[in-house]
Amino acid sequence: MQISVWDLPTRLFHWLLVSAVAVCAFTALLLPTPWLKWHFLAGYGLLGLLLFRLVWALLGPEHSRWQGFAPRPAAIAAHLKAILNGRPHRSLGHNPAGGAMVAALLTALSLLALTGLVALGGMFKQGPLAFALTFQGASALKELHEVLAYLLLAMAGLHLAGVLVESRLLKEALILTMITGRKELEPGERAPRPAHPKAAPAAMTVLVLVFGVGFALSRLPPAGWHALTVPESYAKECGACHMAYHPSLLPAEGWSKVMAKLEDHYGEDASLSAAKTAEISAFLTGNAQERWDTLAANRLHGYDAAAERPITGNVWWKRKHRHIAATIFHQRNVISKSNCAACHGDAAQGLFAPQEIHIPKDPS
Amino acid sequence: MILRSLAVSAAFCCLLAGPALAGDPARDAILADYAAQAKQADPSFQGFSAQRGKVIYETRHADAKPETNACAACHGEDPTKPGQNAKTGKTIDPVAVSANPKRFTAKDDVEKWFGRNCKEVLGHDCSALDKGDYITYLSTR
Repeated sequence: MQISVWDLPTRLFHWLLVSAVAVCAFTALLLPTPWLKWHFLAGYGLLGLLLFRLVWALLGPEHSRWQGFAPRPAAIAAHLKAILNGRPHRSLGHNPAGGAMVAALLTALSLLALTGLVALGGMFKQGPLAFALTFQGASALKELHEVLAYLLLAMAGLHLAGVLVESRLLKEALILTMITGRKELEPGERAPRPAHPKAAPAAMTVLVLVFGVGFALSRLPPAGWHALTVPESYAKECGACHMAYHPSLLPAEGWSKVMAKLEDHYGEDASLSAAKTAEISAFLTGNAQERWDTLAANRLHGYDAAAERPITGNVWWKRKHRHIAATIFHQRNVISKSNCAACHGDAAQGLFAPQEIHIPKDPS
Repeated sequence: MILRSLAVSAAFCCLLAGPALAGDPARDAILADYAAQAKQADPSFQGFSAQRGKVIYETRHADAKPETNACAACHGEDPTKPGQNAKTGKTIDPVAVSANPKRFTAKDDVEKWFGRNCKEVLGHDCSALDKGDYITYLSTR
C-alpha cells in the first residue's frame, strides 16, 4: 500500500530550498557583482523557507518533525556500518545518518541566512539589521558566511551522494519520493501521523510576524550613513565638470590636498575664489571618510598621494573594477572612470549598493 | 489702435536691436561691459559679430589637447543640444541661449568659464571682443 511520507509543503520546501541555494551559490560564485541583488532576494526567500521549516519541524507530519533528524550517534554508526556491508536498514522517514545530515544542513543554512543578513546590514547598510551594525563587525561575519557557504556545498554533495547510495542499495527511488511524497508501506510499518491541523496557519503567522518586524526594522536609519545636504556651491562648482563626489570617498587629508591645488586639478584649471574654495573645503573635510561607516568609506580607506587619481587610483577601487572592460569606460555615455554615476545609481549618496549597478549599453 | 501701434513699434525695436539685446537684462549688462572694454582696447570697435563668434565656437585648434580642441568639443556641434565634458562624461546644459535662457546672465560664472576654457582650448586668454562675439553668437542660436 502506498502512503504519504512527505506532505506537499515539505516537498515544496525541499525543492524551493534547492532552487534558492542554487541561485545564491550561482550569483555569488560565478556571476558579476550586479547579480548580487538576486543573491539577496534568494537569501530572503531562504530565510522564509527556514522559518516555515522550523514550524513544520514542530507541527508538521510525523516524518517532517525534529525527532526524525535529531542525531543519535549509536544509530548513525550502526547505519553507516550497515551501508558498508551493503545492507542498510530501511527507514520510512529519515534514516539515522540522513536525519543527522538534514540537521547539519538546516543548521548551516540558518547560520548562512543570519550571517548574510548581518553582512547586508553592516556592509551594505540594507535590511533589518542595518540600524544596529558596524561595517567591521559585519565584515568579520561575512568571512564566516563564505566559509559556511563552501561547507554547505560540500554537505549538499554528501547529502546527494547518501541519497544515491541508499537508493541503489535499497532499490528505492528516494529522489522520486521527494517529488511524489509517497512510499510503499511494508509489513510491520505504521502509517505516519499527518500534520497538526493548525500547522499551516501557525507557519503563516510566524512568517508574517517575522517579516513584518524585519520590514519595520529595515525602515530605521542605518548606522554609519545619513542623508547629506550638499551645499549649492559644491553641487554647482565641482558638479559642473564631474559628479559631485560623496565626501565619504576621501579622508579629510585627501580633500585638503585636492582643494589646495585647484589651479592644477588633474590637468585642468579648476581654480575658484578664496571664499568658495574655503566653503567647499569646509564641507568636504567636515563630512569626510572618517565620518562614515559605509562600504566605500571603509574600503577606499586613506589617501595615497602617489596615486594618479585619489579615488580611481585606489588599490581597492582598481580590484573591484578589474573585470570592467576598458571599452566600457570609454563608451560615449561613460567617458571616464571618474564618472561613477554612469553605472552606480546611488553614487551621489555614497552607498554603491550592488543592486544599483547598471552598466549602460554602448550607444554607438 | 494705440495697442496696435505699440505692438508694431515693440516688434520693430526688437528687430533693430537684434537677438543679442533681446534677452535678459543681466546678459545685456555683461555684453555692454565687454563692449566698453572692447572700445577701450580698440577705438574703431563697431559692435559684436555673431559671425566671428561662430568661428570662435567651431574652430579646431591643432595645438590643444585633442579631446578639448574646440568649444564645440564639449558643448557640441549643435549648441542647442546638451554637451558632454570630454574628460569626465558629465552632461553640460546647452550653451545656446534659446535652449538655456540662463546662459551668460551671471557675470562671475561667465568670467570663470572664459578664464578657464580660453586658456585650455585657445591657449590664451580671450579678449573682451572674443567674449562679446561668442555670447552674441550663442544668443542667436
